[in-house]
Amino acid sequence: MRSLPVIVERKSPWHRAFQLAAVLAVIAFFFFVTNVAENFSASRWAIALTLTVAILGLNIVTGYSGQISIGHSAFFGIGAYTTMILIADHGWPFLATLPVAGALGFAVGAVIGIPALRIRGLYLSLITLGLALAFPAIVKSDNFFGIDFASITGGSNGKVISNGDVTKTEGFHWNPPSWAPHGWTTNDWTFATVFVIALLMFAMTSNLIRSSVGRGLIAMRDNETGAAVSGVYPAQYKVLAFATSALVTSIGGGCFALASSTIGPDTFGLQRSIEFIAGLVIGGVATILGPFIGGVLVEWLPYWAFEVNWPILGRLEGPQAGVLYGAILVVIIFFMPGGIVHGLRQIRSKFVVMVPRLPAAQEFSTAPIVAYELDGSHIEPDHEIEIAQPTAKERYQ
Amino acid sequence: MTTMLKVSNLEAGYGPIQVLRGVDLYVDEAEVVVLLGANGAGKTTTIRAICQMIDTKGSVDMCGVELVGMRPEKMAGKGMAHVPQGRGTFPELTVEENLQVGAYVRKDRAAIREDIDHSYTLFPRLGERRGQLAGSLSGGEQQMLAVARAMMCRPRLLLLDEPSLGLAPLVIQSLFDRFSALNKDEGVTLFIVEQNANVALDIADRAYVIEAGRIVLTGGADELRENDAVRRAYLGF
Amino acid sequence: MGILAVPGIDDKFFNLTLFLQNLTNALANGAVYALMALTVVMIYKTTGHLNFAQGEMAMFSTFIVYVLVIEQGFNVWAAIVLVVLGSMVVGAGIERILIQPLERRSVLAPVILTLGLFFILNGGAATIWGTQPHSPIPAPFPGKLDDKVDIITNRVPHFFVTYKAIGVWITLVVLVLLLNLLLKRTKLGLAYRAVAANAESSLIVGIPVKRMLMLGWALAAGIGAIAGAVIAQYRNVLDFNFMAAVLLFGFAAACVGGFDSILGAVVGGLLVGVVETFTPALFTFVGSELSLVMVLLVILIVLYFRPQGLFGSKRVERV
Repeated sequence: MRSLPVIVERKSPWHRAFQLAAVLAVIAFFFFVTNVAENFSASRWAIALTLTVAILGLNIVTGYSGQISIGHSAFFGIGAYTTMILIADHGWPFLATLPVAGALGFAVGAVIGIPALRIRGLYLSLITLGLALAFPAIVKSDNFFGIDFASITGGSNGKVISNGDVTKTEGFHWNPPSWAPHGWTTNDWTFATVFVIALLMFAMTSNLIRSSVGRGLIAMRDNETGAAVSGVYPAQYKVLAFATSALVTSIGGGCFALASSTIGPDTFGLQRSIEFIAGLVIGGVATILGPFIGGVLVEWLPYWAFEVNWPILGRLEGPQAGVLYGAILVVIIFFMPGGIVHGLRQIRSKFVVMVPRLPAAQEFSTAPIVAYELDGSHIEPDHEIEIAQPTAKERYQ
Repeated sequence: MTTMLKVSNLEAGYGPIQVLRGVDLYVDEAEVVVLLGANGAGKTTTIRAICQMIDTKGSVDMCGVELVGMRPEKMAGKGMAHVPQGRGTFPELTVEENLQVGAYVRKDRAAIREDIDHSYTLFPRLGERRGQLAGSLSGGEQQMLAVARAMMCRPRLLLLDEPSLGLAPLVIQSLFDRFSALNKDEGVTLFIVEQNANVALDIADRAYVIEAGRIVLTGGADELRENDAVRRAYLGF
Repeated sequence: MGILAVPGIDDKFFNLTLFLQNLTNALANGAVYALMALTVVMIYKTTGHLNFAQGEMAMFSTFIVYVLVIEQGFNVWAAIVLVVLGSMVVGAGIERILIQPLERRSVLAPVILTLGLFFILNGGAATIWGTQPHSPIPAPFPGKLDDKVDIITNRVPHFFVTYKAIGVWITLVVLVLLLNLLLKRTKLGLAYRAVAANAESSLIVGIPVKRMLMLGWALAAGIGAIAGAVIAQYRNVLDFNFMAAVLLFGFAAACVGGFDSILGAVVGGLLVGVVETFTPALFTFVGSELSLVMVLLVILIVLYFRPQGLFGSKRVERV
């Protein structure tokens, strides 16, 4: 029996095996939702994925930059309404609306971010709270500084695009193309679309975090003065971080419009923002997988809470789910403050430890050892000198 | 002469960074003892460790009572007062309230009132400003207030952390004259941590020099003043 | 009356009795917000935290008053006193048991905890007492239709001030006076203010700082309980959601007034009340559902020019 934890070098065959397993898991998940799970749940999974993208955006500003935002529901809404309006009122194709949604989110995020330079932590959270409250109110209003938002957005009645069989407005269908696997419904196709977009967003964000921009953000979060001294200017970075996170969340919102096909202003209020934060914290702040877990949980938890016949409690009613939600938050923040991802990592590190790749042993021992006397004459070694390099195991044990 | 404070093998630090690596020193009753050292040597950490404001290992014995492991708010009750670096006044409280707070652990109201008035005698400028918010006082006045506040709990031992920091030379001189008076007239034992060795050694009985978390030199104040290493490092000769 | 026809200004606003009525409503609502802002300040002053569950705690307390008064027949003021005392104990307990261990971990952790508490209390109240509004509502002040002071009756509309509104004002004034007494004239209050001013120096002089943090939460919970009972009667609503919006306006008021200033809480609350009522009344281009947005705009403006709020100390900005 091997001793635990097993030590695995990055880029070694074992590591590659793990990565392959992860890729297979992702493929299996896709397959499961489109072919195995019931048709209705494909649409729920699509919505769940849009939430994961939204939380991914929030992670950039709250997880990696350390600024608490309670207003990301507004960006989610901006993206959703942009897509919705462009499709329903102007006949745009879905994919074309996403860059617009993202750009609008980025712009609004930048505008909010600039006053954020003047105010710190606490105030930023209250300003973003205000944003979350203001968004539904503005959407519903027919008279905000002269602009009739309600007529553009559908006001309290919301907006609808059709998807599939139920045709409420003319024109928009998101049916599987002819080359899709036989048996796919529009729900499956919607899920597949959102899946690909989500994968792209996760990949892009992951790259961003690993890049120097990402490191700058983390440096700024942990020690603003130190970061400034190292050339990371808090002002620019804060605004950039906020705007980028708004962009990502907006794109999530655009996908939400597709997946949910009906949207109303109250979906994008304070409750949604708090769900995002809760999902992020439970999933795991400042991780890439965390938003995924968080988004899935936020969408499915109410469903599971209501469908399951709990011991002692029986079936949960609406408000009781709220208690469950709050209890989970409290438990997580006490016992697993890094979220589920962190908890999983702790468990994993008992079994497997990833270490950076070590230089190959031969690189040292082939270098000839050359010695000189003080007068410059060369000393010949009287035997071959072998240097034994410790293996990874010996180094880290 | 009884020993008021005996510190043995004191180890302390901040998180993973260990600053004090086994400090030994003692202070006798009614003495003025000075701790000299460069920036980063561990002077402030020593005082904070003695006051139990950070986790410490080793022994800090004050008149037979072991302080290591006690909570910092208990120190005032044991007769130990501390004027932290940067004065540590309560900026939003008035001068008078600062002094009242200084006497928090005491219950004898009449005597507290007397002591407050006594502080105003000792430090007339404070008396003039008794209704003003402490945050609006000058640096020198705040330092006086901090010392007066520390005296309000009638301490047996007064710890001062870099009292000269940020003050003009004339103010420093007058401040240290008062410390000397406190010691001689009121019998308060003083332990002063200072970078300004000149002024400190003038009023001290004994001194220690700390470097990289360890005591490297100790002796009478006059001895140390003549010591070559000290002169070069701290007195600028 | 000869008001200019300025576009965007609704000249119904300048009708005397309507104006006075609006003003009274604004100031009464403002007093409500000031009460909540006081709870925010009490906790913020010493701990630097915001308690997002404060409104729900107040709501829960109000429901217990309801149970005591309506179901058990207690005298309403006796019930309120009992509940206030109980809330103070619970508030202190929450701070000691739940918040203090988390302080060390991160800035986010206590915020998340209070969010979790929000859900637990909100869902808990809905589970225990259902989601429908409850009546009759416990009435600390005389609250029947003709319990009012008629001031102007020869114009249309009449101008009158209800006893309930007067009650809200009296509650605010009495609470502020009591707080002032506690904080400025007692040793405990001095210790509390010392911790707010400099926590480390407080340790040095022997103040048990942790207990002062608990005191902040206890005071906030107590004030919240009173506020809940008074607000429920004034607004004539008692259901599990009735405090949520009030807390938000309370945060807004504390923001404007300064998070560590009692005077700021009062002024901020009244200001928020005025903005909330007057902007839709005065400006035609703002509908009444946008009053919240207008309040937020005011906050943004105040914060831009004076980040620490009108009466807050400079330190608040540095957090």
